[in-house]
Amino acid sequence: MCLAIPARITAIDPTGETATVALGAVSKDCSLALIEDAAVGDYVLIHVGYALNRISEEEATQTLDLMREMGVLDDLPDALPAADPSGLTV
Amino acid sequence: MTDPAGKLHISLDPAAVTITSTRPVRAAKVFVGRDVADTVRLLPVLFNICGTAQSAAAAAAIEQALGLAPDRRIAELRRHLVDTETLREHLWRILLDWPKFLSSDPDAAAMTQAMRLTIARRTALSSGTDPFAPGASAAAPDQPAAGQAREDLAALCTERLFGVTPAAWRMRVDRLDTLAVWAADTDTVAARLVRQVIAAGQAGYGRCAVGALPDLSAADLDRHLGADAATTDDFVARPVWAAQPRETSPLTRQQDQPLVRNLATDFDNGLLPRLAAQLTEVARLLSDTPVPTAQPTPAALAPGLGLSQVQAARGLLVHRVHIRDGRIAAYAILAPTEWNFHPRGVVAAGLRHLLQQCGADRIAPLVRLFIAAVDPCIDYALDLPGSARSLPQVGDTRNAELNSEF
Repeated sequence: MCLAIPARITAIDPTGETATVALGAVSKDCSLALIEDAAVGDYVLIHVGYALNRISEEEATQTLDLMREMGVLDDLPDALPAADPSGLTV
Repeated sequence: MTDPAGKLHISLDPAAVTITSTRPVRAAKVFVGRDVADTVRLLPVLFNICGTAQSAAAAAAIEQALGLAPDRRIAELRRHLVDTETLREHLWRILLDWPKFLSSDPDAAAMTQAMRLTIARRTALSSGTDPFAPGASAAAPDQPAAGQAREDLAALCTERLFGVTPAAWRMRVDRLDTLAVWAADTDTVAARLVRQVIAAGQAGYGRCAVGALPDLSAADLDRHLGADAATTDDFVARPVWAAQPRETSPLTRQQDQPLVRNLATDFDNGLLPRLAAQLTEVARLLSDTPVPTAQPTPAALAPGLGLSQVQAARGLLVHRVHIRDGRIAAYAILAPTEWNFHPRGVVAAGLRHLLQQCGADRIAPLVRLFIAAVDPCIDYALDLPGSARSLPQVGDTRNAELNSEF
């Protein structure tokens, strides 16, 4: 299925072109070429190495809850803390 | 952590091409037990890449299941919205992926502009309406703004794709020689890639005998999806028609267009017709020509059952829903990627032919180009013959998707 994964920006490269995003304990790099004014702490949708757009924390939570129900996040702990400085813990 | 979006694993060796998939093809089951409103709200949240096509298919299937008469203006609005999404997806391929095959940088600036304009067009078209609410009726769209967004997209594509207006391109480029002239005279990524493929003699690469999916009736699709979960699960994962894998794609949609038809005479369903079909579809969408679609006669399906077909960016998308007492009793989604990346499908067969046409030592970039031309909407891992490269380890997500396959 066409799924873009919500993740939280934890660091931005000094060039502003790439960012590190976190989904739970997993980090990956992505390109910021398609969005503007991204900031650490923003939630973004990730698809094939690009951050597509910013989404709200509520939308990120909803999406991840659905993915957890689908069973594709089965190795990540439950619950999204209100403020998690290390990333999107799910 | 495995990627929640799943992945295709494509393995080539001289004897065989093997495609395995971890795509979550049964994802729609997450809606079972939910009420209709909740399902309509959550579906595009989950399927957020082609959310418009998914929402359009869901709305139509749910309306049929609930016995709601379709509103002609809403149907037309949904079609325009889906076509706008299709245009965006094609531009992603052409502006961001095609440059990689020319050792050029992705045209991120143009893609950002394209995304902005497709959002503007969508907003103007939907003005005052929730177009995907079952039973919705359409308010008047903001035609001037929608038209302006389309004109701006056409101007962007004139500059970054065609070198001439999309309409002029369609008129002038109708067969191999006019395509070659255009490619030689135009300095855009699209033209350079076409020029490269022609010059390298790769126009017919990847051709195979897998045929196009014919127009289908809802009743036929319902029969193939079956009444029991096991049959449905198997069909959505590995669909076949008349016992054969089939293709559904911009190539099959545009096969009666002069350029694509003429190229197919010499190159069948090989690489150059595929690239040409995607450009043709972009040009047609920019002139507000809808993506070709058979309008299936609404079938008299059982009460509580709805089945819809939408021509999404990569091919035919099918939704089937059973509703009982206002709640989802069953939900199945059949996506175009499952047709095209079937273990015996057009990609597997095309890559086998590619292996025969050029040696294993030269094949890597061609494999990636061919896969991009079919366009899987998902990341994939490639295992090539004689390569020391191994498939990415499960859990190894660092940089796995950032251009790592190119």
